[in-house]
Amino acid sequence: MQSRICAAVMVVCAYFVVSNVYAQSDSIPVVELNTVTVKRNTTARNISTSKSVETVDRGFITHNLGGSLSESLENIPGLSSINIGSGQGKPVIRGLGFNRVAVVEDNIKHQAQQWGSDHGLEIDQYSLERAEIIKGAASLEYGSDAIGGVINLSSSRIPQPHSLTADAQATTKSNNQFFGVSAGVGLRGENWFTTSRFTAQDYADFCVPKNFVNIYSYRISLNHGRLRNTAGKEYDGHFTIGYIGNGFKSRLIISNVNSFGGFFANAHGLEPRNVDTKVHDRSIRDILQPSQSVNHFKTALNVERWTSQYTLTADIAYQNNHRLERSPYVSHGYMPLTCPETYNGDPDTEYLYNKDVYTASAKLTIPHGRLNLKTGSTFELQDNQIGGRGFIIPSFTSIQSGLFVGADYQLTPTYKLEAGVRYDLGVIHTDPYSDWFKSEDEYVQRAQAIDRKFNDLSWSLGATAHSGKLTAKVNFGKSFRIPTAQELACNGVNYHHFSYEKGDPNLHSESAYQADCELTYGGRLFTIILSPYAGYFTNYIFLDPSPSFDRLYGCGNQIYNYKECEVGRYGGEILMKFTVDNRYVPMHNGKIDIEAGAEYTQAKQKSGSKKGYGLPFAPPPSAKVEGTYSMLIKKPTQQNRNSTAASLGAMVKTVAQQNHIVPPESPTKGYTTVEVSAGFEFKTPKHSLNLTLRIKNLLNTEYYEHTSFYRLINLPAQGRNIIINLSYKL
Amino acid sequence: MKNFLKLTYITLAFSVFTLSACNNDEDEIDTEKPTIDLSFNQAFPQNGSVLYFGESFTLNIRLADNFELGAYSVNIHSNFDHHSHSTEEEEEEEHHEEGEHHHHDGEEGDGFYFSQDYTIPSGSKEYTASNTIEISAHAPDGDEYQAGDYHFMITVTDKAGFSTFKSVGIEIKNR
Repeated sequence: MQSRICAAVMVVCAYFVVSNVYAQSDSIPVVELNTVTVKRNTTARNISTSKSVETVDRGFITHNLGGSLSESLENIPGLSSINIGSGQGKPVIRGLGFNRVAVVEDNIKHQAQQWGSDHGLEIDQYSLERAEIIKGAASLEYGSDAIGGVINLSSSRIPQPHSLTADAQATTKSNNQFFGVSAGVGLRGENWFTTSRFTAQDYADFCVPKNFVNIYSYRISLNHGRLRNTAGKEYDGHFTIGYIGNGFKSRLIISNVNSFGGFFANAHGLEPRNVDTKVHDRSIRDILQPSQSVNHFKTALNVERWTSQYTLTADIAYQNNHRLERSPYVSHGYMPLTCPETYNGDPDTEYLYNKDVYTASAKLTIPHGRLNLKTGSTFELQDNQIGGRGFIIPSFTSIQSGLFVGADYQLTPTYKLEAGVRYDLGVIHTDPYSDWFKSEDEYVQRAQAIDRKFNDLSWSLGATAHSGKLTAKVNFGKSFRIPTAQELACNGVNYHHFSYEKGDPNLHSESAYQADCELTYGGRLFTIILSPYAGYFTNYIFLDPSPSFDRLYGCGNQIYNYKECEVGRYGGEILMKFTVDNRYVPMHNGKIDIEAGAEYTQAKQKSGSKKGYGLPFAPPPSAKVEGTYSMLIKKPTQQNRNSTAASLGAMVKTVAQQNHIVPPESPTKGYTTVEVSAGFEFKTPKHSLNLTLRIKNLLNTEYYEHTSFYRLINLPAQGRNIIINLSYKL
Repeated sequence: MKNFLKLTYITLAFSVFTLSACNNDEDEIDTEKPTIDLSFNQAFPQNGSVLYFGESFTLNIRLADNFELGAYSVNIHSNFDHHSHSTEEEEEEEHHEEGEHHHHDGEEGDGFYFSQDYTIPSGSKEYTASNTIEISAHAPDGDEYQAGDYHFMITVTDKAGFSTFKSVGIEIKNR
């Protein structure tokens, strides 16, 4: 905590020094800056890159508001979410997740414990203004982890000069009796601005449309379909202060996300348990053990300087991720039956992770006629300390730095070419670890000290063609990912999977080749986007269950080894948007929007002991159709500039069965869900008020999500959920 | 525009090519878990079975897989705290209701712990586990084990790495 405050203070000081230097040099020529703040046009950006990019705004996130950010983004074709209960989730892009998706918030790569399937993403979704999803490898600019794609998030917009903005949102959900509020204010003089936001969420155990569940043929009855101990709460704060001048912009961000939630009590992870139902069913809102509490603190400084000759951006950041998993002390294997008094620590702390991350990056863009040159470098230091009675991964320190050079060239008004190359150097050191208890008369050493060094060269080539309503993009490249400490050095029983997991200190850096393209026809009333891709991993790293057991290290559990294998992948998404308005049919100031999308992804292991199988958590093919009727009830006029609008919508989503599995998964049946929504908006020139109602899983269908963390223990997805959201904006 | 169409054709041709290139071989793979049968008459141990310290017992459990079995492991550990991960809840509840045992008065005794894994001849689709397991009378340090409720757990894997486990509640007593 002390180091966190220290870092924050240092960053604040550095910030004021830097800003004042520029404040002086820029105080003379004050130009209208409105154009500057909105200089990045999102659609223009989409055309300017050869990658397949999807951009959504705050409105999309509010409309699709799920229990977690990754669930809110799930409706974008190509994206899926590994949901952990009703309030946590981690994003998956085209079937790749965990450390294969880089989440970037305000230019800073979000680093937490993303290797664990039961770990969510610590982002306040109410704080986001925009989310940009790069589908496909993007190591060139984002480095390791971006092998599957990037989720690039922007929080708090810079307010207009001499303005005060305020907004408030309140959300309630019936299924888990969720209450959430978020309020933000923004203030700007001429050059200086500041924004703040606070978010609080509280939810109860969620419901499934069943009164019992079968976990490994063990029947557990549920009280009114509630999954015991899946309640949670979250408190987030977000603060920025910045300066925007002529050709200079800088912003300091301090944020903290704090969540506390329970794991389903009848399965500590994936192990069926008898619990004291009287204690658990007494309240649906209390959070008992097993539980996880996570705090993510982040402070970042973004600086941007632009002239007609160049644009320079620099970012430095400090993050701390503290994760505590608690469960009542239970003796497993050779552990003492009861926790000895000599045990140094809290006997109920099963795992503790404390990670400090320091990042620095700089990027320079130089336009030169039709040529646009860009170069940049990144640096990241991670220090992860462990605690608790259990052991999966050792403490580690890693340093990664990279250098990239790229260029794009406008060949003709229609065609644009781009190319880039990046070099990375990474070192990782893991600490040794021995058990605190004796197994067969010895303190088993689980981890040796490991020192590894990785070099990586990644590159990409792309072309964009844009002519009238048509856009075509092609992209080809090589990406990489440095193995994680868990993949190299884990050596312990994962009680979430009943498995003994063993790392391999000799793993190579994971590398992949990917080709993708995107074809877009974008008319006024009809848009179609087709985005196929194909890829090949020379060595995909995954956890491979073997038929053998281990006694000394694994308490007699099945051995799962980290292995490398070749993987071939292909698939794609299609999205169609169709609008019917007054022009063709008299709609009385209304219009109908129809959006249809489908996604397909297929991966197959081409070598190794699981040859022929797919990859874990593979999203099944799915399709959805959404229709929305919206109308302007009252148009704004000269006399009365107030307006009122309303909308009605329905969505049907069909998900196919998933038979392309890999042990220990089971095939998952297909399903269809229906969702309806209604919205009402009242706007004056200064205020706007928005009320939306959405019913998810309208028919209370019992279905299983193949990509849910709880799928392995056969827990169905949430039942009917009525979501009401009220938002106000000044 | 002409060039544009050309590029469109190239990208479409490219995607068709990659799709067909990836979609060739269909390997036959195992997607079913192995099974454990404890339901036949002579199966042993079963829920409520009583074992004795210083004596041996012989397993009789049928294992099967549609492709090929891998290995199996047996684990016996105390259930004094009734943490239970039984796969046969209902029966165990009854067993508890008999109520003449547990709530160990002799606080000092260690819990008996046994963990062993066994191989299965390669190529087997069916196998009957019939190992003899000895429950020692004393801990290596000479202390007596604590009598009471124990869990008997068997896990079987297949060659592909799928696993199935079954757990039954047993009682270990001093004769």
